[in-house]
Amino acid sequence: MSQSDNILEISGLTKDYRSDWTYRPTRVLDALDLEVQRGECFGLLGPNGAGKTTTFKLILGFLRPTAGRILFDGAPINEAAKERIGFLPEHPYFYEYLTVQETLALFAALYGIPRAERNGRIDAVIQRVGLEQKRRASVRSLSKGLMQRVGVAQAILNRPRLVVFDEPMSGLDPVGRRLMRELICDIRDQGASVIFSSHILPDVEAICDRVGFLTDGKLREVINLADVAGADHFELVVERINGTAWGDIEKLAGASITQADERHIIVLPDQSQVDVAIDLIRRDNGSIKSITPRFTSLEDRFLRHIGG
Amino acid sequence: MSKVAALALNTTREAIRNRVLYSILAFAVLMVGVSTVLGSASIGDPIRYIKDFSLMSISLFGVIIAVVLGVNLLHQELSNKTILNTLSKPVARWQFVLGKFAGLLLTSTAVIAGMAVGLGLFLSLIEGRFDPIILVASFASLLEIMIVIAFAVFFSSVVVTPTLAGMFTIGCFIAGRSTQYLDYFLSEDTGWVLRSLARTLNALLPRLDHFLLGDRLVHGEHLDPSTLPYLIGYAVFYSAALLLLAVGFFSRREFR
Repeated sequence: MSQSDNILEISGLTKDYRSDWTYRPTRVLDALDLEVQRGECFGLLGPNGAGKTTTFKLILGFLRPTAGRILFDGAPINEAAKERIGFLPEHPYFYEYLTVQETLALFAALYGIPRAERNGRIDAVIQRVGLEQKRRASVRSLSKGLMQRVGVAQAILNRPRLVVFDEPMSGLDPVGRRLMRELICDIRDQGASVIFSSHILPDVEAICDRVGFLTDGKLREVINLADVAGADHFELVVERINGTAWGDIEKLAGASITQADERHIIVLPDQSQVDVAIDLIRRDNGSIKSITPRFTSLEDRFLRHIGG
Repeated sequence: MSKVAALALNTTREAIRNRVLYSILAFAVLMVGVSTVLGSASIGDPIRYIKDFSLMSISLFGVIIAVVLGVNLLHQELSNKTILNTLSKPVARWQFVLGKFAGLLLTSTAVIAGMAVGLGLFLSLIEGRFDPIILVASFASLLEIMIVIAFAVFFSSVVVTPTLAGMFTIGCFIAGRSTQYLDYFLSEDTGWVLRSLARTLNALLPRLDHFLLGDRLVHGEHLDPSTLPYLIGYAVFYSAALLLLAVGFFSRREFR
């Protein structure tokens, strides 16, 4: 893959926090290597304290890395680069004395959006997140779900190339979560890249292209969800099979056979081997009681990484 | 500079919608009212008494407003994490610090101007003319407040709690108002250590006592033509130095 395929490249990113009193370092992020490709939605999964928020804060310059580097569009992130990055913090807080319109106007000014374009941009994002009715409502009067929409609106106001969402589904009801999923997919479909953290695995499975598992500050695995969408392995339960077929089935790559009473359970790694095994069993007049595809869910993988 | 202006206007808007501001303002107006009553009962010139007391009140409450707003507005940005939204935008740390300072200065200017004009109009009803010394003395107070705001922003950038930042700011204000007492320790009769300490403090602390023009003007003293330009230059230079330090500290600050 050429370098230009990645909008974000993180290499060797390490962060130590130091105790206020003893100044003793605690490593919260350990040599993180990660890429976010252009136009993809990347999910960063991990338990509390895994280092997800720290990663995002390092990307946005709220924290200084102890080691490592972060490249956005091939260059270190500076103030100018932030014109093309959107960010939604976990539990977004806004100036409560402002209305939705005033909040977005403030951020439009901070993004450096030309004055002549501001109102048009604000109208567009308000419509996109469905806040037309709340345009003049003060931020303090908004529910959690509506506040999150304001958060998304301010994050996409600058038409970013990369959007960073920290726990965007946190605290939302099912309707709010669905809307948030649609918004994230919409942002990706418009050509931007999205990186977000979440604990809600079904949402991650629904919208992410790739997922990274982060625990104890280390990236354990990155998987392409398209690669794990199919069955992980198949189980065949067989009766009355005579000895001649066993040898052939056992020779199939990755096959394993266990016996339980009169039945044999054959585990095979893919569909083509299942087809071969079925032919072998029928040849010897064996009886196939069931064929079950088994899936290793995202949750299984997640729990495996966190030791649950 | 448009980002600094946006941050400044937002800071002003936040301050104006802060109820604490109105509580302090109400108390300041009350003090001016009290001065009127006390002035009418005083033995000397009641108008001079009212002017003296009212100008002192404007100066003092202006400083209190500057400290309370200056320390709390930055702290609230940190505790409410609204700063994360702001700094995730293409906004440099120096722009944030300067925007906060400019917003607080704008608020203080509005407050001081309002109180000064109100006092001037009130006194013109009694005197039959608008006395310009009210405006001159209030302007000098505003310059002093500018330095106090710079201290508030500086300490807010350095220390974590608003209480500490407020205490340090008030401490510097009191010390700055008392710098003339350092003169006693600058003479040759004083020991070397004490004299050196006094010299250092004299060089570092702001000469806020120079900004107290109200008392001098009310008692008929004529100002040297260079006084106001000197005060403007002094306030701008001192505030700029403090803001530079504040930006230095704030730029290194991490937001966990």
